[in-house]
Amino acid sequence: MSCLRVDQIYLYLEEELSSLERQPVESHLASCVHCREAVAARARLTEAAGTLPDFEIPADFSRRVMSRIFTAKSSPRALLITLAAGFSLLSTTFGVLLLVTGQNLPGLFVSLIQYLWTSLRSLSMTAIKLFKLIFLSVKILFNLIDEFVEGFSTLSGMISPQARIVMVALTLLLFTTLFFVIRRRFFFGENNEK
Amino acid sequence: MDDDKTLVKKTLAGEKSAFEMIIQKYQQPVVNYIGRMVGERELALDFSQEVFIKAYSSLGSYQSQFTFSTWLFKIASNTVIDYWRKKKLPTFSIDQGRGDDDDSLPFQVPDDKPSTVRKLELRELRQEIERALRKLPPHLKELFIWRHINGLSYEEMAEIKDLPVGTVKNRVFQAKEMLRALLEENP
Repeated sequence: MSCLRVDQIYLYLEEELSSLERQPVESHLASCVHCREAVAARARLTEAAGTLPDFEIPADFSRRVMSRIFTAKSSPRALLITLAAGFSLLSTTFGVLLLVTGQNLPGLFVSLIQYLWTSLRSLSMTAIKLFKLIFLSVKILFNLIDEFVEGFSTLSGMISPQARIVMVALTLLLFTTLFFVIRRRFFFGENNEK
Repeated sequence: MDDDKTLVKKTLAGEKSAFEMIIQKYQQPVVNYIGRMVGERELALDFSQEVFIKAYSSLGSYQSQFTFSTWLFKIASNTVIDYWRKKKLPTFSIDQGRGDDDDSLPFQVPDDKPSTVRKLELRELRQEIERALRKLPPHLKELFIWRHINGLSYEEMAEIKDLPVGTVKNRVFQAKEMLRALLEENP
């Protein structure tokens, strides 16, 4: 028998050869120093690989995994706890307010409602003023646009048709360039973040 | 201790402690596998947690005719693959090659000098193996780890990777030859 193949050596070491296949291998090994050395080296490598140290695992590893799984899953219970906590907080706040203001409970409720109503009214007034401001701004903007369009029409009436074509073409070119510059900036910005 | 299928049934029936027993049984093998694949203990612990969480979430899809450990290692393997894809590592695809054409072993035993492997003390040899393991291509490293560190059979590994048993054997042998060559290179 010629010298062993590598796969034969590994199959021999792992006892994966049938008795029919094993016998010629063992006969060859008895007479071939080179193959015996090769088998011994590979056996030692396998032995060392099988005894590599374990990675250290914290003692609470399984508990941590369980808490990650089951914290998310216990939402009805979590909801009840949240509601109970909220109720406690509300009760404590009322208790403190009662002590601080010196009022009785109905009086405290009335004061609170009055305060809330006043706040709501002033908020509504502010909102109305804001809407008026926005409306006026939009009106001014539209007026400006009207004036601009009128002025542009008057101006284009003064220049020749060829000049008008050139102006339109230049404007289109400007907007197209701006579009690609802005698009490129955002595109590159995305890539840089990656 | 109950077997894996019983623990899975109990978990699905709502017994949380059954799943904790599964974690305690497989935490070491999973951490050892992921640790040697990614090379960092802390990362391995994080990924191992993810593996068990994914396993719990998809426990309903586990089919009892398959071994639980191979199912779990498949989740672990996919987790490692996702990590490498996100890192965009310029290495071999971990799923590289389904056939034997790229799994070429030297036909005869190379005519080596006296082996470094035999000269080193076992403790030193283990350290050298750890270093050399990092240089193995992922698709070979994975099978080597499963075979020699996790003790999986060739049939189990073939089931996990959906490869022929012969291919798996060849790749394990190839990994060992590569490791041996790396060790001989750096005596």
